Amino acid sequence: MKDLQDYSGRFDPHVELQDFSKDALVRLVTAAGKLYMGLDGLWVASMRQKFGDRTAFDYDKEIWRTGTLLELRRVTEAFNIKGNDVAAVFKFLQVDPGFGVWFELEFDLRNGNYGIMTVTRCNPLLMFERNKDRDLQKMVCEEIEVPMFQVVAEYFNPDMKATALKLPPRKGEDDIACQWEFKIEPKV
Amino acid sequence: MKELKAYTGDFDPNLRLEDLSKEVLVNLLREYARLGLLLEAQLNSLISQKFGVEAATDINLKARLVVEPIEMKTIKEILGIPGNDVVSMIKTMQWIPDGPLNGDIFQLHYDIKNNNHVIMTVTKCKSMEYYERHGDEKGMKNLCEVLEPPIFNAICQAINPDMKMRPLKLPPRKSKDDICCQWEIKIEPKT
Repeated sequence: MKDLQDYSGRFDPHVELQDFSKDALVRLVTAAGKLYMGLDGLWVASMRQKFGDRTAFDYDKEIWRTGTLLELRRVTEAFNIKGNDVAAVFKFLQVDPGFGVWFELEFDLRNGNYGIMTVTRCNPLLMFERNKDRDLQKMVCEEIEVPMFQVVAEYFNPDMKATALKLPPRKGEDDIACQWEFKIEPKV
Repeated sequence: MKELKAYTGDFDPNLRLEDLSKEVLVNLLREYARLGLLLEAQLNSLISQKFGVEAATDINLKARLVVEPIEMKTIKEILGIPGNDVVSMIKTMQWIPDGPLNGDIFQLHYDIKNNNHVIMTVTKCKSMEYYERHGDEKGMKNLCEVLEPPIFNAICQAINPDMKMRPLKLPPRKSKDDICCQWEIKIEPKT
């Protein structure tokens, strides 16, 4: 097996992902995660121009209802992530292409039934802040992320609740982006 | 350095991509490629249902004309691919997430005439197969004739503004043994 650090050499029609070094693959995974989410941002921008904010936001919500389930199924299968506790959710969130791969996260797993996740750096939020696009920030953080984290929680355990402890806007550049509580609460 | 083959063990709050084995990273990249295309298909389908195929194509085209050059420049940079000829372009295109990176989705064959002239043949295309299976000629026409030519040209021009890609053959196919499509890629300096 080759261990290419980059692809500066001759074109090889038979070269495969496995032929690259781990370092090169890590760079590719990170770029793929960013591009994956970037495409969504561009669709929303085009939709806003053509059909207005409300229609664009409603469609993006609809897409992510399905998209989140696809991510859950495919990523947990690729990583063989099993279990129905909060640890399993955190494992998925760490490697999810649209999330853990390029966001900065802190996890405080108190036990299998309770944990807090803090997003300390969120690139989309930085963009919303830079563009002063409060409408898009509100849609993403409140209309997409709040139900999406609940979908993620319930995928692993129907008794798990995901609750936003803090959402943007931030008070300052040193503030965290958002914070979420995951808790298993058996139905009474 | 860890070499995790899967993530079946305990949750590790400090896990990094570097802790995963090459095998897992490769699987992850293939899944990312698939997820990106599924997301795009979902978007096209939703917008088409409500506003028609033309509106969906227009939205998708606008977004991809921006994202594809970014993809190409990003991948070229992170893989250190030098040059701005056609061979540099196809080396880069091999690794874009919505390209032939996942061989289950797309398979390509390249006939390199020289560094500035290549014939690219798509021998497997899951997107086209989807339209064939559903007998959706309009959807196929939109993808292959309206979307892909300008997108492929944007991909080329991200590497060299004088590079052009033109279709030699487009769907529909005569049979399942036929190729999906074929493209000539050339540097054509503006006169």
